[in-house]
Amino acid sequence: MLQSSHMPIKEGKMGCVDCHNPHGSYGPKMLAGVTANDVCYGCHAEKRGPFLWEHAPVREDCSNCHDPHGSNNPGMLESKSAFLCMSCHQFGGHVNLPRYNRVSSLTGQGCVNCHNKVHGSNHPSGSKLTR
Amino acid sequence: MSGRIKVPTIAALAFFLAPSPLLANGDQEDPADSADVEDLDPPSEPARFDRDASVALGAAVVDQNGRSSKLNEYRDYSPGLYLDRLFYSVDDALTGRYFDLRARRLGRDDADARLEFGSFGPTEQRGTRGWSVDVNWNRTPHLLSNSAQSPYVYLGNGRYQVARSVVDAIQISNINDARSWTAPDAGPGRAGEDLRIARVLNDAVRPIDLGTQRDTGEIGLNLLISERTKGRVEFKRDQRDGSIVTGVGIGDRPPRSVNVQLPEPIDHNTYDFKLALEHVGRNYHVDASYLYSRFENEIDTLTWNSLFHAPGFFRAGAEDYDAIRAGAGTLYATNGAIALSPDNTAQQFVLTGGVTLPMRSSLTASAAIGSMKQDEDLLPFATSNFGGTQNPDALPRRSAEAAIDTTMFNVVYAINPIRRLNLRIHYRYYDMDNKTDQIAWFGNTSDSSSRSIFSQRYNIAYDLEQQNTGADISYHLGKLGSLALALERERKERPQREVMVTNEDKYRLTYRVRPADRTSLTARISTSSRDGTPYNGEIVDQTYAYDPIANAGNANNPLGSFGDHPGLRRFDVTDRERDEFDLSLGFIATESFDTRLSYRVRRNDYDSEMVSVINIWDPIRQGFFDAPVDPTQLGLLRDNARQLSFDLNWAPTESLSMNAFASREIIKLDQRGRYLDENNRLFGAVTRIVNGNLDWQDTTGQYIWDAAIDDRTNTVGLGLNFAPLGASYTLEAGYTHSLGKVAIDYVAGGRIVEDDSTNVNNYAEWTSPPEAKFRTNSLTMHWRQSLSDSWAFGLRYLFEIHRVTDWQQEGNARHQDPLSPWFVRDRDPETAGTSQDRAGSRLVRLGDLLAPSYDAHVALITLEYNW
Repeated sequence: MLQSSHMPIKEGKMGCVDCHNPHGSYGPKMLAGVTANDVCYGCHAEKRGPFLWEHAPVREDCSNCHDPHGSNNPGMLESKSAFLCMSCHQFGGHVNLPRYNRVSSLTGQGCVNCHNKVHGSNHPSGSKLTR
Repeated sequence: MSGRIKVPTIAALAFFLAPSPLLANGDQEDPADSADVEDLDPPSEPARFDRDASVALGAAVVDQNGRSSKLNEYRDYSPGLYLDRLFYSVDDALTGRYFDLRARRLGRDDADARLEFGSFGPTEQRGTRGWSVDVNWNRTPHLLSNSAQSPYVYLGNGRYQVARSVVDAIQISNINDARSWTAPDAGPGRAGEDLRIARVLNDAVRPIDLGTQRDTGEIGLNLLISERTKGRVEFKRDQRDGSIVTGVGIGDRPPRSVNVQLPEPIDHNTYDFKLALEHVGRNYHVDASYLYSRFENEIDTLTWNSLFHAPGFFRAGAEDYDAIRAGAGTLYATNGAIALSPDNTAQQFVLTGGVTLPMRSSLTASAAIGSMKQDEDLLPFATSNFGGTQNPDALPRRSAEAAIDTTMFNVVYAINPIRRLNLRIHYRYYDMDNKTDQIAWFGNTSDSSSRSIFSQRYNIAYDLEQQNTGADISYHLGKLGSLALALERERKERPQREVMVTNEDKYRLTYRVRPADRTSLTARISTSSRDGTPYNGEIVDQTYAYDPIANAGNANNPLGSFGDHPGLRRFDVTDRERDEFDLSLGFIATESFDTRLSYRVRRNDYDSEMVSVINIWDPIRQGFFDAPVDPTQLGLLRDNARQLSFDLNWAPTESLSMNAFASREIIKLDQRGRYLDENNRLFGAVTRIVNGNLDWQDTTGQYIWDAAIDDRTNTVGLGLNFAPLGASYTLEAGYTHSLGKVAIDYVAGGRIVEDDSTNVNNYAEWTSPPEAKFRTNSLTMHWRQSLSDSWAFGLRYLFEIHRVTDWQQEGNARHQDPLSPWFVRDRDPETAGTSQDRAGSRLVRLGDLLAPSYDAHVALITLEYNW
């Protein structure tokens, strides 16, 4: 909770019971929702969609990429952007190396510099989650 | 700290416990019946009304260097006056009615308030009838930067514009533009093009706001309908506005894309309506809830004009959305558009029931059905220059028509068949049924005209069906503690994923014991194995609109390509061996001293059985064949997280208490990747060997890279509370230290080929970056001094040091992506016009380190009055 990227818990704007129900729940981790994503949508309904172009791991479980208890990476990501993406993507239309020194480079937001709609795109030409 | 604030439920409890006026009058019970009463003084009649109130005015003084937004990321420490605290409470002992109002930091961006009023009913009805209304209001800022700058000006309604003069000074006529060839270090008096562009940008940028403000209001009605039945109706509005960082691009992919970071405007409203009912019977309980949620985004689209191309500069009529094509007849779009979060709705109904059965057993079941729908109007196709597809009539459907239905069923049976033995059996079913129609959409690549079949892609409606079946058995061993064993099988079906079915078997053993008085120990070890075979290598083909027969000879036919490398097993669906270990040791030395030590390990290994042959289509031979593939595992290979934490509480006297905690977390991840040249991936058996002996997947292993990520965090905290009995003051102090480090050890087989950044050797070359560090030290102190029965003075002091070093956020140039040697090009001018020409790293950023380091002193002075 004291990591650089964190929920506003130590600031007193959130508490454990905002996400967990200590009296029991329908799913694992005593989450206060049917699924983990249902809990997340409680504050992030803009991520709920459904979208025309879905990103399967996002639809299934936000914690595939985010650590809600905080991390040392921006956006509470599990690892640095680009490396996180390359956990799954190696062959997606351009060379997949950390140093691909064009707009898909590691700086800024990494792959998200272009693939800005990683949570899902609603653009008719958004198959690559760039629009 | 004020001791006057009390929780409404405590007030309510006091009502139940306080002697009733009726009892005090002796109408129902004779005091003489109680032997103890004779020795007591006659009870004094309690006051009917209990009132309590306080108000505190605050003033903040802030001394911060650098104005970093990080200090106020989720709080408002701006200097000035505010209402620090407001509290009013009144209870009527006779009628059971009460009113309670409390608020904090009014006038600030992080204010919150709660109002609650209601009735427990007259004494004789308490516990059987009652109602209450609660109103909550909560403000939460999320400040992202005080230093962001952009050459763009926000015109409102999602529109950004950069001045024509800036575009004229920067614009690139085409990717072979000779103006872009002057290197940054061209020599004295010959400022390079990149430096000139940097100056243009630095002159053009203006400060912009970056951050959001969330305001949440909620009103709820609670009804105690009977002794066993209660309900709640709730309405919540969550409003969020401001802006966040987004990257936007014109063009379908590098090097044909030009990018800028922009503040994505946020103007969101979410409305939630909830209804809940609960009934508890003699040996059963049932509760039901219904949720309707609606999300509305007031800004549907983000549009911007290109920083790189002005209308009519290259060719008239190229002002439409998002079209860049290389080569002859190149068109450069001068406007871009992306679709922002669409309006959507969700509903969910949940029914839960439990019943106590014979033989000390119980059955609990839950069922839920839900739906999520989204039908936002769609934007035109992106590559609108080709075939007039900017007309919305060209869309296969005008709105998204996206819908997902969910179903959940959960049942648990627990029994205590014999003494000391507990057995629990559970089953859970969850289904996510995506009902969105899958059709072909145009304009997904600008390799060809937008209506071409090669530019069409199918949207995939991802589904998930999950079943968990398991049993837990535990046995109490008396003084030796208890032992529990849990078994579970998890089955997931994902018809549109790289692995269509995964089965995971989980085993968990838990041991709890109290080896000595005041000492407790819990140890848990679990292991699981997920089977993710076989690999569905054809899954990517589903997204293409190619006709396998009509396009049998086309080089880009997905049947003839490894669109998804078979060596890459997506970590969330692949084979996985998982081991977990938890140890917790608690020790209560005395009533005033306790301590706990915890250690946990989470370890995943994603190694899978790789295939070495895959059957694919050969567009030249017009037939399927077995193509050899390198079975090297790629992607995330394994991760290992360990955390050790320790906490201690000590209260040596009634006046003094102290606590301390420390934790150390180490996360290690191993990843692997390789150079894959998409242009060489086709025609498997025929032309796999190209560029000398380099095939598309480079089976020599020369271009494989490995990255070992080491992410560790150390935290330490100390707390002190000193409240001498009878003294007029209290003291609190706290200190926290957090240090996070992320190191990446990158090893690759590549070697640098000077002046040839397009050489594959250079692709693989990338050195380990500097360690990223995040350190925060916070010291807080609070002194509260009572000045009289009514007046009190308070002083809160915060001293905070924050240091951040992060190569990913920093750069050599403030507004230009720094990794490329040059902004416009990344290639030596000597090879101008050759096939190795490449566009540069054309990302214009909002600045580096949007939330940089700072030192800050904050003093909050409060003056409090209590009634």
